[in-house]
Amino acid sequence: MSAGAPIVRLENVSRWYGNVLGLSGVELSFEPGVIALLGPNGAGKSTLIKLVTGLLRPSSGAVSVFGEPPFANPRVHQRLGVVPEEEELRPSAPVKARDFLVYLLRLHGFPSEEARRRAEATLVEVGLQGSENTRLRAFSRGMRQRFRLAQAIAHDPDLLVLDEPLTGLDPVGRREFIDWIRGFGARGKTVLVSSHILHEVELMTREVVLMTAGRILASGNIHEIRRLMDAHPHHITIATPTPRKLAARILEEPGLHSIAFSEEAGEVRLETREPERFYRLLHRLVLEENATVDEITSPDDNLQAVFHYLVGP
Amino acid sequence: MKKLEGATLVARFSLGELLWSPRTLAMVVLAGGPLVLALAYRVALAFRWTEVDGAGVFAVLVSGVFFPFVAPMLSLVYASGVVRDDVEAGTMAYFLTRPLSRSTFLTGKMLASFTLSLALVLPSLVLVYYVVLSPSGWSEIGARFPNLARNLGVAALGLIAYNGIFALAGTVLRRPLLAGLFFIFGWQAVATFVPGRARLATVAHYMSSLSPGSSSAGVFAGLLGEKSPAIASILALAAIAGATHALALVAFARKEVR
Repeated sequence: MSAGAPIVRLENVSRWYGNVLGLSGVELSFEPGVIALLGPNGAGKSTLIKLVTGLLRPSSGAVSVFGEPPFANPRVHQRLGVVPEEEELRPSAPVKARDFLVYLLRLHGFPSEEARRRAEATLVEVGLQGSENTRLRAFSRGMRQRFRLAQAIAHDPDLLVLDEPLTGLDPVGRREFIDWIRGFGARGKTVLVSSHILHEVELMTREVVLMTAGRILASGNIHEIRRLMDAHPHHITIATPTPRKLAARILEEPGLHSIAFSEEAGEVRLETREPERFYRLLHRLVLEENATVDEITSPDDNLQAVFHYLVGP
Repeated sequence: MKKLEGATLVARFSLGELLWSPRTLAMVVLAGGPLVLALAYRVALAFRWTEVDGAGVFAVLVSGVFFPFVAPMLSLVYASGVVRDDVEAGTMAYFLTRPLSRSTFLTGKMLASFTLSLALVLPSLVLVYYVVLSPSGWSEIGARFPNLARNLGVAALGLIAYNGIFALAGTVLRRPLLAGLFFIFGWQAVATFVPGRARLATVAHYMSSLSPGSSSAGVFAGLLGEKSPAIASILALAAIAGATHALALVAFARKEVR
């Protein structure tokens, strides 16, 4: 790759799935740093990520990573770390986390001892210490997500591509992941991360690519998008075994647009125009008041509202 | 990483995965089926319910059970999963973003499926041989050893041909297991027994042609029709194995992970 060339470049890339358009005429290039792909489900983020990681080929146009087409290209994959979109990651055999990671590192060409050393260090780095001998099939969703990050970073890639990496993580895990992604970018590496949750992206980077319906809607600084977002309430769902108690505690705080809970479903649903303040509160409730939160999800209605605003009715 | 080293690494890991997968228990039972029949023969012999000699029973078990049923089923179960298993387990994207050529990866997977089917079929054949021939004494066992060795060779050749066919199916088809079952119990069952050249498009025909036992398995010999010459059968099985494995590699090199 020539000096100064972008790490990733997409030139007029389109991708069709039969008659369905996944990506249309995308022109993009990425330099080192953290770049976020932001868009609602079905926007084409995963398609773009699969094209960049060489799992798909473009129907037209050209994709290059480190100056080469990435599809089935070991030279590109040598320098690439990937967290694919959430999948079960349940190997058919009862393989242990460390053994699976050692195997993946061996595929990168690391000798056995070095692979084992790296695997153990990386599992500790992502917070899976003590789970080295746990079988992957027995991992919880959050543990699997941590393992997915471990396998992507263990070989110290130059380009890290993450498809919705925060899904399934608890608030502490989310914070750790965000810090980690920022740190990776700060080391001069390139991180391409997709999300449909704006406030998470905002914590990772200032550089975003806004996508909808397979097209690039806008790219650039996140502050402009944030300004548009604040006009719309953010929808957040919290899975918890104590929804009534948690809802009562949240109600004590200002900035809430609406709140509802269901004991049966074990969840609290709320709307807020100040998501950052709310996530800080939730973080505090978990850490300081031992509130139990199993999962936080934020549907993309709010983002969709911005897209409608940007593209018109 | 060198191709051979990479393929060996993948094969070793895949072999471990396959060995510990629940299907292997079922496959051990399947491979042990002929052994149960052999033991039943020994019981019948002990109680003088039969006077059929052990060599005849072995021939029937080889040409009637091992070659048309046990070998292809084992191969189908393992080889059809070389790609599908990782797609279903959600691990394919993790493997295909490693700096390993796709041909190396699939070669390792196919090597693992072939090795495991071989490791189940060959010992079972040897055990059955011993169980049915041991009443005749060691001299008989020794005298008929070339027969066993040839059957082991035919089994290995047949398994590698089946391995290629079902690995190809597993690479290009969404439901390779169903397609494989159709191939074994539909196409091969029909083509082997109908007059004409259709049988030339089956693995079973060439295995039967090469098996020294099938000629003495009266009823089967009659049904299976004319045999192909040994050299032609070996070449045909090798060609099937080579072509199908190569096609699987070509298809996999172009395969996308959606």
